[in-house]
Amino acid sequence: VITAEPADVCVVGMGAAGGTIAAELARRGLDVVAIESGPDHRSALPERDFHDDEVAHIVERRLLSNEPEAMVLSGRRLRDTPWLARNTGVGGPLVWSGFAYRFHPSDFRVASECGVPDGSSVADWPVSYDDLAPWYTRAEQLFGVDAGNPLPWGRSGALFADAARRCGLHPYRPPAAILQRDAGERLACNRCGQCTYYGCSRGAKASTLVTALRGVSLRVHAHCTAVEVCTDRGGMARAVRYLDVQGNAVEQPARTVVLAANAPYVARLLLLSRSRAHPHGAGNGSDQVGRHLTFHTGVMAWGVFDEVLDSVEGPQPHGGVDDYNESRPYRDGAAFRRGGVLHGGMPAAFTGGPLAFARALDVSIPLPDGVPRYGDGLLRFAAHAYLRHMAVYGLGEDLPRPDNRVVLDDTLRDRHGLPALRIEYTPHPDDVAQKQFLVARAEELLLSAGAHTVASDAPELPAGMFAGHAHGTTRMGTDPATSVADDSGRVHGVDNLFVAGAGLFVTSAGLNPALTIVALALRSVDAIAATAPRPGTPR
Amino acid sequence: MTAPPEPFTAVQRRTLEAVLAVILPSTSGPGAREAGAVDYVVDVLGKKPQAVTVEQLRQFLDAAQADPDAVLSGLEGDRAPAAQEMFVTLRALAWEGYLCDPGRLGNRDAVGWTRLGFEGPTKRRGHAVPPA
Repeated sequence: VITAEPADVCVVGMGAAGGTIAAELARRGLDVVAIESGPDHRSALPERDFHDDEVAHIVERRLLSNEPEAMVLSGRRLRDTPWLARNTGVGGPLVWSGFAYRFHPSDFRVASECGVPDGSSVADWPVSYDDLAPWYTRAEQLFGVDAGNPLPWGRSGALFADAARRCGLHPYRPPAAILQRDAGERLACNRCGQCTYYGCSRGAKASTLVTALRGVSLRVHAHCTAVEVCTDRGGMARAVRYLDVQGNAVEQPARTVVLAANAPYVARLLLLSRSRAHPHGAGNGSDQVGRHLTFHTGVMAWGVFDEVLDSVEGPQPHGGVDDYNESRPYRDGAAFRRGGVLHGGMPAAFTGGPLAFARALDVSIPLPDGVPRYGDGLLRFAAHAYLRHMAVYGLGEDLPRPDNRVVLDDTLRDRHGLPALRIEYTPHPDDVAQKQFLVARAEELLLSAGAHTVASDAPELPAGMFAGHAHGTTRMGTDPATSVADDSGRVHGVDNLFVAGAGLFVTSAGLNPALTIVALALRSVDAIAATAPRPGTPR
Repeated sequence: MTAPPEPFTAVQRRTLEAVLAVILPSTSGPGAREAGAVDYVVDVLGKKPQAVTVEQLRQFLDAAQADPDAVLSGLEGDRAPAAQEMFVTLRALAWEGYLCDPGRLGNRDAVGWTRLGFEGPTKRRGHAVPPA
């Protein structure tokens, strides 16, 4: 084992949370070393690396990690494949659509709002909306959310909004971390439409590459995979062990360790970190690591219209309806406690580009009745529908269950020979009822908008899994018996070990998670910095 | 760098071209044949693994040689997982060869993009600020 020069703080994972924290700590003069399993996009040339090639991004998933994972859905083991969409490389979020929501105040106190449904582990967050509000403001400033200049309605969005109003709903333009005017080095969106699955060559769509990481000096070990948090006899973190690009084992000593990878992979790293002080894995003294995993429920309906629309042009946040979110349907008598948001005017493939659309037909985009699976009928339909369709996507709150979790698999191994992640997930009965409700509302909206052909899907698999929305697994809370970390991300009982990112979420909310991830990360910086004072200052 | 070895015989290649033309025919406009989709597919099979192996594809093409229409129709109706994997893979490859960036050998003269109404990646159009 090679031992590297000690650092003040070692951050594992350089996405939305890790990049934000590493940059803030470095600005405060701390010596930060980051370990990232993917490439270092800071040296990327936008025109070369964040181009528009659909084969690279849709077929080869160039910006996503491709480690196989085991998946057990409602007790049935599915095939091993990369189930989780997770960003890879320094500078995330890259593969995202730019939705930059604040959660609702009620999302932080679901147990107080509607009790703890049977079979769920619903709980209140240890932070309230008011606690997080100033950090939301800072996150919005960093990302340039709307920047006093909300997105204009496009044709698809306006069609959706008109239909929503006819249905008695309240449509809005979703908050987007996508610039509409040039700002410094970031150029305005040119409506290329290739947002999700792509980095933005113009920097219009926010990522830490064009925000927090600009002008910051950091030591980053890219293409290096963290495999263990090393602890001392007292159980405190002392180093991170990782495999470098040649496969050599390296120990990176640090005063403080921050785990900020994709949530399930933070849990996996804790579970891999077994020692005498932590026989069941670091932070896992009460068997909470990996549990309370949530995604988002997902449904979609899409329709084809007579006229040419602009759903395949960017930015992807075209229009939203929040009337069915939180507990509003429940109070009106629905059989589920928490609802979700509907996004309309969307491209059916969740991104623009003709190959993404056509290749998803009959795979993730259901074919309308009467359209054949191949041949002239399919080709004629695709040629007509590409510019003349829009989708309504529902993203619903996914109730946590203690046994929805990630564990180390018994047989599947990653490319380093370490136990791969196994996801165990059974939808809560509320989720099933909620999906049926949301997909019916989505169909109604499309018919009201004038679609002549509508098809829909309410899959058993939680669609959030394919959107990078994995939450929980290192839940935060005040009680070490029922949570892994406190509200700053500090792991209970390991004072110099922090987790960051969506793993801390207590419940999933029915909204996109990115802004909440960044706000929580910003909020945790003071607590992290306090454990790793600059050399020469008294501890 | 030497080119990867050709994965198919001349006959297999002609059968592959015919199969792709059954999936995306030229009945009512340019199809897989005009897009040169077979060039993309042969190129990509030599470069990266697919959900089905090249050997499985060779066997399929040998069986499909006499009547690609009938074999593809049988494949679509066969619920066996291996058959569906082959069907879905062939269809995905046909679309890729039809709609990929023309620099990747398929979508010749952008005939696929034109048919779907895609004007080409706007990211290459330079810096345009949209109307507020």
